[in-house]
Amino acid sequence: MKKVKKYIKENNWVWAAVGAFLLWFVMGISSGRLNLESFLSNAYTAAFLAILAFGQMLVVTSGRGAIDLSIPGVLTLMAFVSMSIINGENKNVPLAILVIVVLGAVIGFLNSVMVIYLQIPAIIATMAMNYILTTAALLINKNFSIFAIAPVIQKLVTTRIFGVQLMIFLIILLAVGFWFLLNRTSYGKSLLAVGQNREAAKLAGIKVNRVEMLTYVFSSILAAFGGMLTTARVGGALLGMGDSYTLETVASIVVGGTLISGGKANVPGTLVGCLFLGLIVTAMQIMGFSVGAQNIAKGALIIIVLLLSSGDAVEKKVKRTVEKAA
Amino acid sequence: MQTETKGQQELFLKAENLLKIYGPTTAVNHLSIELKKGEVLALVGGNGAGKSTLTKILSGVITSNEGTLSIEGEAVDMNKYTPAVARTKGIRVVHQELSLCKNLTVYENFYIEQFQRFDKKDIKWRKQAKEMAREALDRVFPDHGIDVNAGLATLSIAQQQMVEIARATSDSEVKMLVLDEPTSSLPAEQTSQLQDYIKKSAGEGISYIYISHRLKEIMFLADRIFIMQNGAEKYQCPIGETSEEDMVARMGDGVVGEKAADEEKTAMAPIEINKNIKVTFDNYSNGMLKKISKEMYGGEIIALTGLEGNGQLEFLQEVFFQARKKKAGLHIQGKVAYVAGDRKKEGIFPLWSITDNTIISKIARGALFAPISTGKTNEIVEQWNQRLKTKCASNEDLITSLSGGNQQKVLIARAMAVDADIILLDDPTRGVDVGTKKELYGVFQEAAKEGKLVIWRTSDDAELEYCTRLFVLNAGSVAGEFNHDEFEHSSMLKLAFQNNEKKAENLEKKKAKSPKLYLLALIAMLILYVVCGALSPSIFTKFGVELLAVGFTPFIFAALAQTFAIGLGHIDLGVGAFMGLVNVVCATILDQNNALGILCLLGLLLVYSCMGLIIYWRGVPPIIVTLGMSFVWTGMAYVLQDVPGGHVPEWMVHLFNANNPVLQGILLWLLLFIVLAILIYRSRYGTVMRGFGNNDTAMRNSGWSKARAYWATYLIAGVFAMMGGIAQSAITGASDVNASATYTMLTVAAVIIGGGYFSGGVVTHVGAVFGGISLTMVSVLLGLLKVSTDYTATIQGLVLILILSFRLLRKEKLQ
Repeated sequence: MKKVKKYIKENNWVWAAVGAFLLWFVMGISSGRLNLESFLSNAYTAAFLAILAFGQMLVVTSGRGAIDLSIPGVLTLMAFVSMSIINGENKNVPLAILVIVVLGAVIGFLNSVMVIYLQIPAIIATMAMNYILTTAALLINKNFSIFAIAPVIQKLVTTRIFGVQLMIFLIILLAVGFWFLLNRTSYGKSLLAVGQNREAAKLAGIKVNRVEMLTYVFSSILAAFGGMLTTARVGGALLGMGDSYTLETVASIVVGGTLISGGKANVPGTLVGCLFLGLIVTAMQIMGFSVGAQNIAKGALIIIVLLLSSGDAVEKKVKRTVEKAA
Repeated sequence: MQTETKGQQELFLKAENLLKIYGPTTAVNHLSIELKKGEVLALVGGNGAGKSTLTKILSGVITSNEGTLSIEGEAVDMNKYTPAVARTKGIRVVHQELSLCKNLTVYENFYIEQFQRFDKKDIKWRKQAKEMAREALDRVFPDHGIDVNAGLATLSIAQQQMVEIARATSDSEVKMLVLDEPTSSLPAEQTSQLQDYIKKSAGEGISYIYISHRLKEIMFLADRIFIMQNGAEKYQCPIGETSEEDMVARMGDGVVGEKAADEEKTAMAPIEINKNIKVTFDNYSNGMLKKISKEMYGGEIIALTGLEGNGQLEFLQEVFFQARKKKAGLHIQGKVAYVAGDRKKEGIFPLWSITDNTIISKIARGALFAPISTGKTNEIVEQWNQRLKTKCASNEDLITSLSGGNQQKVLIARAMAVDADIILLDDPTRGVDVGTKKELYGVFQEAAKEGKLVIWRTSDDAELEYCTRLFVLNAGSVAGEFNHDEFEHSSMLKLAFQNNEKKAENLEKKKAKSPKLYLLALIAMLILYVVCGALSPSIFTKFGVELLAVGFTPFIFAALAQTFAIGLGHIDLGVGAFMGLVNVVCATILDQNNALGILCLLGLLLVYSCMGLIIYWRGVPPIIVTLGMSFVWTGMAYVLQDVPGGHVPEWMVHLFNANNPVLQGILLWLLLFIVLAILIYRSRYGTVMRGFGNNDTAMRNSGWSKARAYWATYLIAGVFAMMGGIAQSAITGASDVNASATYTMLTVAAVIIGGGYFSGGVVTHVGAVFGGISLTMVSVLLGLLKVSTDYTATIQGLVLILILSFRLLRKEKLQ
């Protein structure tokens, strides 16, 4: 019992999980469609968000108030790039994957160069990058007339195993991978250390720049994959298809118990956060909320969660340490 | 008590039985001290003798655990004794770290700290502050050559110190001044001016506590010396009864020996040198370090000693950070690990367990993606915990749950666990209890016995006993070296104190880095204007200018708003969205019901200003608050109006486009608000807001409220952003949420192009305006060159990055 209490205290996403369950339950009762299918369809939506949220989680964990605002741009541009290369044919998929991974890595690398060597605050650097990528997508879109999705990608996104979407399994697998990356590898431990106390990390022999660089690269590659997969879900590459993800990634990791000031990341929490956010969006749609009202709710959610959690002793301790260091 | 030196004098301050304990350390140990009116008391003692703690107690910065204090015969309630109370009693301190705001001018720094002395209604506060600054500087440092209008950042360190000293003396209420190493960076001439001033004002009844390592100065200046050791009084006497040699001898006497006497000297048995591990400095200079030539080998414990801040830390860090690089003159053979002494700042990872904190260095040296074995990790941690006798309930407990001494053991285990050959210790026993200290000494000696090289920076002279060799650092070079057997404490002190006299320092002004921050942006703006005009001559006509200006007006308003936020060291990510919302409110609610519309706008302003309070109270990062709110703003706008359109009330359009022969109405409004923004920053409270952007500790110590400054800044930023939205409405007559969406990044760009910095409160509104216009001209130019508008945002983003890179190349530190 004591252990359970301690676990809940350290993983406050448990409350988000309870909230998500209640939300699903109430929604199901009120619409008369309380079944597993409605849950699965939400989880399916959340799976796409989770791919991007993991990247955002890494960037935020690196500390100093870093946020990757280029995720929507990477996602949209890579959706266009992958559609162009694949052109509806399976045989082109490997090449497309290679190209988007390389391009994603390059974008992430450029972001990190701006942050590390040009000393531009991460939000400004990634925001500028986002404009550049959005413009590139805009230009491709002008002469763009490909709507065919490669069957293999279509299949990846729609296949079900025992009635559960393959994507959901894949995301859980990805989550396990990220949990391992953060908690059982040198990179992950170093990242968490850098986010907690940059000065101490340097003196402990951590190669801070290399860790930070990899973090941006990971985030961009994940967003690139997100873009390719989303094409199959929405039926093509569309301008603005990534726009809502800036807010949603930040909201989901905050709900999931990742510290916005860095140094602490929570992988299962991020999954739950994505689910919770997806359910809120669905609930708002059912209740007839407009897109605007949904935005208000999401923005307010971030601030409220932060207001509640920043009273946390842990966060205060980090802040004090960081302030002193500064 | 000694005999009176200056005849019959009244006591100014009397403190008895002061005790201050930090954890296991007794910083001030049952100490009593008296200070007469008009007396100059020199406080001397080695590192860590407790001088700083004592002055902090006397000036109310910290509260002592025990003891009484009376000032001018009146007992003081120690629990209510704060710096503010101390000030009303006439006590002021000049700290070693300067408490000036570097983004303000000399006279503004006088104002923010002496504001109580200004008449609240007098508009000519600047004139008064300038006079005050000039008088104070003239009084202490005749012919100082400092322009009171100069920005503080353009002054040399020596000049800044002069300003700090003059500011403290300018208070006519001052009765006692504490000067902590006031001459550490003053040139000879100014030092003697200061001494003259102290002597003169002491004659007028002002008391001084003067802390310095420069014994010559003390001999010249002081009436009495007070030597501290281990937080207690060691010796005091009138200056006539002592000499430099005597002081050094008394400071050194009794430090070593007492503790080491009961230690078995066998620990210092002949050492075995391990030549495979070595650090060689060969006439090496870098930064603070000067011409060091030394060799160190495995098996040795090398102590770095000397007065604090003479290069000991730099010595250690140089070995650590250069270990992997090949640098001429510094050769390092062996694996290096570092044990930080300031645990909180550069040692522990506060969110982690003991296990994680111990193993991180070992992990960080492994391959980036190789799996970590938890079994092996636990084994290593357990092994080191046992060897170091770390006391903890479980290795999975948070490191912050341990005592200081045990935290330090974890940090040592961290270094040991990587199997380092060279262990660098940065004063690791600071704040550690005596028992643990002894254990640690044993650990270091054992490491040396195993053939490792230990380099140990220590501020506790008693620890020198445990070293095989010690280097005395003085001004970045090794002034002397002792072997363990030939070590004598007083000759060490002599080396540490020697030549601690004036270095010929240049009083000359540093070249002002950017004399006029906005100049670059102004030039860029003009060039772009001429280029655009060359392509399309109509731009040179009055009509052309107006057309252009009306186009950028809303954006300039936003840039002015962003300037206030960046001036505070924040970034407002919601400016563009907020303008969009205001625009929509103007074209919907306001059009239908004027009163309701105005009420809504005022409500929005209130919410906007509250962002400042949220940031202050809950410590949520500003970018997150403003980012979250930006979606709230956009969302509200969409709720009010989902497609562009609406109708802006006629009166608003007329109000802002009033017909007049001079200039378009809207531009008059813009000019008015640019002037207003500049005036706000020049006003008294604007000066305070800028001060908070640079040095909020100094501002709070001067008695200003941070919450209020944050709230006011966001309120003002909100007003300017709102004016941007209103201008947008008045120009277009309708609304579009997204019209201002790109402004957020562009305003940041405008402020930075205009010479602003992301932190430090260095921004100018004029610069932001020029920067903003330049960015607009870029898009105009692109239009004239028939480049699709699709590229505009990208090119503006690239311009920002280019400018930042350019400034970085000029070696400006932007953050």
